[in-house]
Amino acid sequence: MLNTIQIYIEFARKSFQQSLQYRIANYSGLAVNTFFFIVRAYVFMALFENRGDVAGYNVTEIITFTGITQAILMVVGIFGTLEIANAVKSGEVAVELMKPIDYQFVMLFRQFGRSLYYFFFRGLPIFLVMMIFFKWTLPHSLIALLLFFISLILAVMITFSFNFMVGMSAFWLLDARGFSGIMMGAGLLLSGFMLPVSFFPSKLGKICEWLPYIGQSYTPVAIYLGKYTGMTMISMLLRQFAWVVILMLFDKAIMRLAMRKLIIQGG
Amino acid sequence: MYYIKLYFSLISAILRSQMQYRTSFIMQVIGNFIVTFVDFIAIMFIFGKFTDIKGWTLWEVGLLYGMTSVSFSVAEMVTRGFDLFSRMIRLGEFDRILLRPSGIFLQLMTSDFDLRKIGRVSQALLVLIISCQKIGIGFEPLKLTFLAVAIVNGMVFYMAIIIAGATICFWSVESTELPNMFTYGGVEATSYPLPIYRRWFRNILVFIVPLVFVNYFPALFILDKVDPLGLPYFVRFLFPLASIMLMIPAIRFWNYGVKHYQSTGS
Repeated sequence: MLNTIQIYIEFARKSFQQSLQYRIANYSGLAVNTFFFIVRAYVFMALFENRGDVAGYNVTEIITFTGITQAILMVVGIFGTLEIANAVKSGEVAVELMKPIDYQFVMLFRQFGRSLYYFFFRGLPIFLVMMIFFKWTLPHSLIALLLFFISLILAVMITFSFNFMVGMSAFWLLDARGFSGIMMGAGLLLSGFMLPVSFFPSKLGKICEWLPYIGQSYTPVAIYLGKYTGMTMISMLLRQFAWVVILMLFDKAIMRLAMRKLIIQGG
Repeated sequence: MYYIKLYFSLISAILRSQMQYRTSFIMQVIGNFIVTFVDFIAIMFIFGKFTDIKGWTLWEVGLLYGMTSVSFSVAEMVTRGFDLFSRMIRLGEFDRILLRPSGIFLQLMTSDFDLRKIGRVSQALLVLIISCQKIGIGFEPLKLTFLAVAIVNGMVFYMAIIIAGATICFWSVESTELPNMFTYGGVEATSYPLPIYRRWFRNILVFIVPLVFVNYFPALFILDKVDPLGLPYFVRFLFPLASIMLMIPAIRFWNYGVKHYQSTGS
């Protein structure tokens, strides 16, 4: 047991190191994320001019919302990745599936390694820009900060599960780009990444709180800002956790089906 | 004439090959439609809570959004070859292009054509048409012509950025996202009226990468708006200059890159 965990952690470590290689790519990505943060922050500042609270947010809170969503964007990987789908398409996945370790967990830990890298080299710098140049707000409480990190890990796992699902779909669709685009498009809006769900028409906002997407982005941010506190916060965290379990099990089932298909094709 | 014929015959070959995987193609078109459509849905939700942004209403913002999105998405669709250029350099495929008896520029333009982006184009057009109709500029031929010219101008503008961005690949093997700042980021920034930004940021959008000429200045004319920044009236008509002044150095830069190209040898 301990040995297996060590193997998975090794995968995370390796993917962290691998990410370190792409320095120029990271600087340019950082510039792009920061640009988007600045634009969105100015948009909200203009909207909130001479206004008090709107949809439960004041201007510093909405700036902080924008800063954190941009900071965790790459940590969570909300734009999706075709890494697994491409491995299926090229046939590389066959070799991976032959190994006596769980492919799903290998990929999850690789994502953890990448997420940790992006936390330090993408997330923190963007947060720093916000701290220096904009009016922002501290986490609601120390507990909120702590739970923010737990929620963030769950957010990584939900997004990973979606990506894995898209990847596995390539066994049937061959080209997963379309499915990926549809999933990602829905996720960008429904996750509360672009806009807090409290800005949505109220019925839609309520529905969103029960969907898995919200756990990709809004739940951690809302916990940081104290928009979810007490029982609501616990309930939102439990929903996030429940979706992680459901999606991971679902993915596992799909992977089993895919492996059967793989054997039929003969690799 | 020969080149135009060549362009269309090569593009039609690419389109036929893309149509081979029909289900995948249709799903990608839908995916592209949705990914950008949610952008505008978010804007609509915002205007459910606010009446205006610095005096601009939802459909006026829709006009800005529609103009910049149509311009960019068409530019992106036709310059797909430049988008894939970094991979071409890395794999040494560019050498093959240099050996062929045809213009390099033309070959790049015809190396790929991203028809799947039609999802994005149609979404942008839809927003533009609805916005025009809501604002009530549907039956003014002068303004519609002006709008069409401005949009074509915007396409040239974005194409220049994409070409200049691809040229960087001649020197940096690692693909860079930096041009995205002024393409995707440019679309985002120009979806809202210029006066919402602070002075330093406005200066970037006017003087360094003059994105405001894509839609803000032409839109001021179309909407008969007073410019709160107090720039002279004729600035509204200067936009073709901006894209020409960007396209010429972009092509020069490209040619310079081609001249100094050294193969990766792989």
